[in-house]
Formats: sequence, C-alpha cells, structure tokens
Amino acid sequence: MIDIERYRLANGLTVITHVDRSTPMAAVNLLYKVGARNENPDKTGFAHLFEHLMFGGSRNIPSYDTPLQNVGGENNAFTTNDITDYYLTLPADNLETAFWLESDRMLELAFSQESLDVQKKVVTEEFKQRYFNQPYGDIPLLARPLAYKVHPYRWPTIGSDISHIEKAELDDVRRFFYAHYAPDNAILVVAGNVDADRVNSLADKWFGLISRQSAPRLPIPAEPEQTERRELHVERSVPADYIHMQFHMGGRLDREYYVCDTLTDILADGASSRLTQRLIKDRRIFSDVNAFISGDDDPGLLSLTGTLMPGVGFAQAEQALLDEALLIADKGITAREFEKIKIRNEASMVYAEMSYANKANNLAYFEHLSEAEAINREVEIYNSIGIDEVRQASERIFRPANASVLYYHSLKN
Amino acid sequence: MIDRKTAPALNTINCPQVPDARVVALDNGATLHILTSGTQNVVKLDIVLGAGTTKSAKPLVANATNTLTAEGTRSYASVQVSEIFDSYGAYIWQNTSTRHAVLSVCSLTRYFSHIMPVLDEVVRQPVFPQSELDLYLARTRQEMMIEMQKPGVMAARAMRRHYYRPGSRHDRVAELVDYDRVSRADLVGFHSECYRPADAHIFVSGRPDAHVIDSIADRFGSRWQGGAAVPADVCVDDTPAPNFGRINVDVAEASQTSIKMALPVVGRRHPDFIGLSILSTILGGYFGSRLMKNIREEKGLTYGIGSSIQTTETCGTLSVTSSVKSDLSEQALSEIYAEVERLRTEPVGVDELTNVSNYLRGEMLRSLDGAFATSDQIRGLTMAGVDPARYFADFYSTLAAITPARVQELAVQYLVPSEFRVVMAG
Repeated sequence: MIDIERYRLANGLTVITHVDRSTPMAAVNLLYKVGARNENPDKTGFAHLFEHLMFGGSRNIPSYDTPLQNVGGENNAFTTNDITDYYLTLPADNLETAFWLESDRMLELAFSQESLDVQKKVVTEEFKQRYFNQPYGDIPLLARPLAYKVHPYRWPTIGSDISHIEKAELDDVRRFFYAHYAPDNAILVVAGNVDADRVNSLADKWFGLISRQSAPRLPIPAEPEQTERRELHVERSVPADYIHMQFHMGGRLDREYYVCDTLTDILADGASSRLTQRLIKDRRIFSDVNAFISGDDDPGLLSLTGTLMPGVGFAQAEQALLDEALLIADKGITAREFEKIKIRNEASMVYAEMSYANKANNLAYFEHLSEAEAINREVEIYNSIGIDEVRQASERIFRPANASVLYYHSLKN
Repeated sequence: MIDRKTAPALNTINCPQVPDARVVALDNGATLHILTSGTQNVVKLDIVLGAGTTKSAKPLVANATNTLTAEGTRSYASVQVSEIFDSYGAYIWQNTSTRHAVLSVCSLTRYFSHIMPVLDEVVRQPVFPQSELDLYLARTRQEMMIEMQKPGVMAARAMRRHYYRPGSRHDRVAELVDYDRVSRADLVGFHSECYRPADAHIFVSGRPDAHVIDSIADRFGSRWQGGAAVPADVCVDDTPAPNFGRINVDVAEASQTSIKMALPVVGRRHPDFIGLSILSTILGGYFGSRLMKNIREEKGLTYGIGSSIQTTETCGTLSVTSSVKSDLSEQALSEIYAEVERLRTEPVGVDELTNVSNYLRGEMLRSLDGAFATSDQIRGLTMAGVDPARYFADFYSTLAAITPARVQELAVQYLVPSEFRVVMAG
C-alpha cells in the first residue's frame, strides 16, 4: 500500500507526494504526457530527440546537470510511445534544487542551434548503437510497422528512419515545446524523506506562475481491426533464426490488459512456465522463448518470440508456439498455475515498493493512466480475473487474422 | 518575482550511516552476515563460495556448475525446483566472477521457510543431470555465437585475452569449441572440491525474522560439513601482462567502432584507491565527466563514453569504454588521450572538483539505499577484504581533503598514456 497526497496548481500541474522515511533521499519524477505517438509521420523520433535537448540548458540556467550534481543529485529520462519521463534522485535536504531546475526547463528551453546539432549526432549514434550495432537490433523497426498500419505505434521511439533525426530543425523544437511542455500536460511526483506541505509550497513557488499550454495537439488515429494474417521475411547475418509473432490486444486500462498479462505470465514467466518447460526443456525447439505484452496506453500487442535451435525450421517453431497458445484456448489453465501467478503478482508489488525512486516513477505513470491511487488496486484486479477469462482471451487473441509474424532468417555463411 | 538565476543554497550532504552487520561464525567455518533493514517484509540471501572461474582448469566449468545447481538435486527434479521458487514468488539467480560463485535468492519473508529445503539441496546436493547439462551447453553456445557478433563484446574479449598473463586463467575467454569439452564429471568434481562451507560467506538482508535466521544457521551451519575449498593453483596470477599496445578486431557489418582501453592501477586495499576512484569519475565516471563533455556533448561522436575501475584480488584496472562513429574513431581515441593529458598537465578547477565531490557524496547515499542495495555494497567490500564502515568513512574524508594538486599528482603517477592497452573493434 502506497500512501499519497495530491495537490493541484491553478495552472493544471498535478503534484503527488509519497512520504518514505526509510531513506535520506528524495526522488522527483516529472512526467510529460507526450511520446512518439504525438509525432508527425514524416518527422519520427522527435519526442526522443527532444528529451535529449531538455538537458541543453533552459531560459535561466545554462546547464541542467552541473547544479544537480553539485547537490549530490543524479538524473536521467526516457521516452516511450506515450510519455516522456524525467527523473532524478538527490539528498532530500536539497529538494529545492530539483524544483528550481525542473521548473525552469518547463518554463522555457534555451533553444540553441548548437545543442540541436550535437544532439542530432548523439541520437544518430544511439540509433546505430541500439538498432544496428548488435544482432537482432532492428527487430522493433520491422515488427511495429507490420502490426500497425495507421496508429503512430507503427514506429519505435527512436524513429522510423535515421534520416528523420537529421531533418529536425529549431522551429520544430520550439513548436513541440509549446505544444507539449506545460504544467497542464505534466505530473510531478516527489517520493522519499519529504513533507507534503513543503513539496506543495515548493510547487507553488517554482511552478505556480508557468502558464498553461495553448497549442493544439494532433489527434491520434485509431488502428483499424486487422482482418488477415500478415507476415514478413528478412535475412540477416545472425547465428540463429528468430520468430516474432504479434497479436492485437486491448489498451492499458482495459480489463483485457490484465487478462493478457496473466496469460503471458502463464506462458513464459519464470522457469516453470509452459513455454520454458515444454519448448525449451522438453522439445528443445528454442534456445530462448518469451511471451509478453506491450502495455501501451492505446490498444497494444501481445508477442510470442523465440530463438530457434539449430536444425529447427520456422514451420515447426511457429506451430509449437501456436499449439501452446491454443491449448489454453482449448483446455484453459489449471487452478494451480493461476494461484502461482497471483502470488507472483503480489510478490512483485512488494519488491516494487522497496525503492522510493521506483515508487515515484510508478505513481507518475498511474496518474498518467488514470489516478495514482490505482496502483494500490492492481493486485485486486489481478485477483478478480476468472480462469475462464484467460481461456476466452486466448481464443480471442490467437486467431490467424489477428497475427503479424516476423521471420528473421539467419543468413549462414 | 523569484530569482531563477541563482541556485538554491546547498545543504550539507552527510556521510551515509553504514548499518552494522551482525556477523556469526558458524561451526562449519562459514560466516553468516545478518543485515536487517528496509520497510518491506522480504528476504535476500547471497551465498558466496570460493568457486570462481579461476578455480577451474577448464573454461566454462565454474559457470556451468553454478547455474546448474538449480537444475536438479537429490530429491527435486529441475522442474520441481523452478516450480517451488515460482509458486512462492521467489527468485534464484547465480553470478560467477573470477574468484567467487554467488547463489542469490529473494523471497517474501513469510514464504522463505517453503523454499529453504530446496535451496539447501541446490547448494549442497545438486546432481547435474546429463540432459540439463546438454541443454545448458547448447543454449549458452548459441547465446555466445550471438554475443560474438557484438563489437563491444569482441573488444572486451580481446582485451581480457591479452591484458592478463597467458596461463593465468584470468586471460581466458570461452571459445565455441570449449562447449564441446565440458562433461558432467567436470561439474560433479568442481562442486565437490569448491562448494565448501569453510570459506563460504552467507549474507542475509531485508527483514528476516528469527525463524529465517535460525533455519539458515541450521542448514548452512551444523548440517553442512566439509573442509575448505581447494585453493586456486599457484599459477593463478591477476597481475597484467606487459603492454601489448593496440589491437584492431574486425567485426563484420559493424555500424560503429567499439573502443576499449585498460590501464593497470592499484587494488582495492591500496591507500590511493579512493583518490583514483575520484580521478576516474572526473575523467569518465558521470554525465558531466571530461570524456562525456568532450566526446558526446561537444563533438557528438558517441551516445555514451565512460571510465571505471574494476578490481581483482590484488590488482585494479581503469578502463574506458565507448561505441563511436566509425569514420571518426581515430579522432575519438586521440580525444581520450588528450583528456588524459589534460588531467596530467593542468590542475582540475576548484568548481569542477567540488562538483564531482558533491556528486560522489550523493552517490554514496544512493549506493546504500534500500535493504538489498546496502547488502550488495557490504558484500562487495567485505569479500574484497575491506571493512565497509571504514571504507565509507575514508571515502567521505578523502572527498573533503582532496585538492586539485593531489588529483594532478595521481594523474601524473597513474594515468600514463603509454601504459594504456587499446582494443578497437568494428
């Protein structure tokens, strides 16, 4: 159970405090409700490039990092398809420095051409490092546009093409900032050895006079229902064949999300899971196998993936994955498996509450989804799922017309 | 109007309180370290054994033995072991370093007694089924083939092979052919020689209750008998080989060049170690470091570059690692040398040193935050032969005392450009 206090500024900024006296530290998490989904299809990768620019100085403060380091702080940020999240930790006594820094870059960035030029190069190297300079690295670039044809989830946060980063201009940066970086589009969470009254008064002092956003935001087109099976074959010089099957499922707030999470846990969570025991251990079809869900805000994807053992063909591998998926649609799951997943969910929540920084991050994310308090109801929702719901979901999801399959062929020398 | 130009005043960053571990000598020679802290009712157990990779004459044996302890024991088949851990929301994982094998478990406190019987057999009575070994070797061989396509991995492998002395076992990297040479008898033999209580250290952290502690002391104390692990061969030498200079490794289809540089410094117990850690932080140990500022933030040649110090039993190595734009990799390398040279010839600015020192004070607090993180820190220091409370106190006082002149002195003494070993893979 995570206790929170909530406060809302007149300009729309939501402020959430969670007190944890077991640490001398504080975590400050500032979530902006903007991600790759808000990008123009011709200028993808922009939300993430922008995240880099947020460290290039703000209106009154030339360097973000140095003053934070000077009070013992450390920070980072990440961009997803839905959100951009800036987080830092510092000794709680120096909390005000975080407010000073974060409020100034919400107020206005420095918009420097030099910073843009350098960060375009840095992000280009990040693109290469993550997606090209390692085997199987380009899978997200291939799998997303196979499953999504319309919705902006069809490109990854790094962007659909490296050339888009090159094209970014300072005017784009300005427009993006004014459209998305404003108090009414942000959630501020402070967790750790702090008092809610102090957090709220610091929020008033530093964020209170920042104005709401005015720029319009692009509407997000919904992905139409997939009506036939899709497949893509690529050849790469990798040591082993790899299969990536994707199926459309509900969004993060749908009940189907929780049911599919349970379903993929039964398939692949832990060494005793079905796919691990049957397809790795017994049948030796895969050296590695996984089942997971994307957890995006809008309707997401359930994936089944596997690295094929030498001598195993794609047809056998795909059938083996489908057989396991459809076995659940046909026969359901056992009460024992179900009980195991419930205990594991409960334990995960306990482990997740060990870190004040983790709590700050999760609270911001839940507030973005619906309300921070919902984090305390997660276990209850998982426990309310019926065995037959899992069977029905399996029947609904694992249909050929709902599948997009990427065959990543090893081009052996 | 508020003053947005001036930073709020700095409040003193205090030295972290290092919790005292209760240390219990068990009658079989094992040492139990108990660290109760945190708010959540969870327990973590780390069992450290003198069964690292340098203890085995053959590559892969120490890793395979450690991993396969959980794949079948006297009374539990592999599937039962995983079923029991999974059913209680518990986790088991293994780490193998050159010196030690570490078996780690975490669980909710209230379920710990349910996993204890199986954990007991995992440590003391694994049976290493042939079929599990075959599967493990087939899977890890395939993983290794994938790893060997990564320029960073190839750079690190080449560095290891040439940095340490031939025959020292520290220089060993597994080759694909080694996967065909490991037998079940190797694992059985290695386990019986090296998984011994006399030099074992057991760290319990989180919120164990008295029952948990009693049960650990019982099962890994009086019920676990046997002498000390076989000592490492006298040939095991962790000192670096003479400098090989530079090696280029060709990696097909690489889209960047991986740079790996290594420089012999001093081990963890040396009086200069803390000063060198500060120096390494200035060079490449945080986001505002010289290397990040120059090579990422000014020139955009990389997504990231860093330096850090790794230690073995008696030695330490300062390494610099980055993946850089291929056509400008020579420029990146010469900029790294330029930053080294600058540290040797110019005293670091007072503001920069203050900044790094405050950052590191914050890092000290972060490193001891949470029950498990605290336990990991204390375990790492204890196993390196360093008293944790004293180390943190020394670190804190070194930060207060260090001067630009002292930093430069350390740079002149240790950051000797001709002593860097360099691997470029791309």
